[in-house]
Amino acid sequence: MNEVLHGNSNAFSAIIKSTETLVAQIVFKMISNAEDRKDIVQDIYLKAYKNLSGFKFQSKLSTWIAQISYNTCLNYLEKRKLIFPDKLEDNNDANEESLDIVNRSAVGASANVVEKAISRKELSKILSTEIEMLSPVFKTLITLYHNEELSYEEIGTITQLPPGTVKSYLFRARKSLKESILNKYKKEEL
Amino acid sequence: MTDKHLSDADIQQYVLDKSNCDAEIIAHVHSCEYCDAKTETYQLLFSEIKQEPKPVFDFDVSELIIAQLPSEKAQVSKRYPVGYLIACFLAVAVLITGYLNKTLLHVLFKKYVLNISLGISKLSLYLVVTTALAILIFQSVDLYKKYQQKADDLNFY
Repeated sequence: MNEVLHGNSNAFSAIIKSTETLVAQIVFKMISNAEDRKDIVQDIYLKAYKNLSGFKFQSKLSTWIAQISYNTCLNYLEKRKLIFPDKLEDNNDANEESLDIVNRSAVGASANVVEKAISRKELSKILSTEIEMLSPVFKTLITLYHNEELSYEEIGTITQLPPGTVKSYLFRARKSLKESILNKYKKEEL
Repeated sequence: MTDKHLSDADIQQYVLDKSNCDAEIIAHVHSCEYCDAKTETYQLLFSEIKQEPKPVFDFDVSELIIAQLPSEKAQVSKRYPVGYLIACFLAVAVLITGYLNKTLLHVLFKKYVLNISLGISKLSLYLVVTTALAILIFQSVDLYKKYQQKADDLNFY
């Protein structure tokens, strides 16, 4: 980092390599258009380079760059009116009741039964589709927690959401995924 | 042990962090077929999410970004702009010349500035001009700092 701050721009390559996976996870979950992803990644790293001297070591460098990534993606979505964060809560509350109905009807559907009905490959495919159907914010939270194994606090720093809200959104996203898979299983069984 | 079925929140907590779960919850999962089935579903779901392949960009990110970064030379020139260096050089040159040739400075000052003084004493005029110059310099520096701060704020996210 010191080398970058002293003008050695090639040293920035090491920072890119160490954070690229995390940035990709966020960008892929939030932006569906492949062309736009390229522009956004450039934007993210150029912002990080420009503001590196302002990094206060209050978090890990990767968390700081992930925060820039999340905000850049969120700005992109908001500009194109592809996300309505204020309606996130309402939508989920509205879905809550219908999800509970599915849940009650799927009493006997244990994991083994689901596994038997749907092969592992199919299940993985269904899960990928269902994850894609979640809102960009939910998708990102699921990925950061389950794939990147970040803590609620770290995810909170990246998304600027209180850890309690992160926990609550994650709970809803997981529940929604579970219900969707059970629902899909029921359809396949019919 | 609780007879009521566990909530999804309890079951998710059980699957994610069994060690921090109440003994009642653990006992219920072991004895209730319905909740045990839900637990297994969540376990399967979480293991499948973990196995999701990690996305990879189909271009070399590092190469793309490094090509757009300013070179080390440009960095140095940005930190010490040519205009700034020339201004410093001129200021020093004027001071040295003025010191070595007090008469020249005095003549120039008298010719161009003192003529418009309209009766103000020499000392007062020197004082006014020096104060005005000092204020102008401080204001310019402050304005530039504010501009940089605002530009940084706008560009950060």
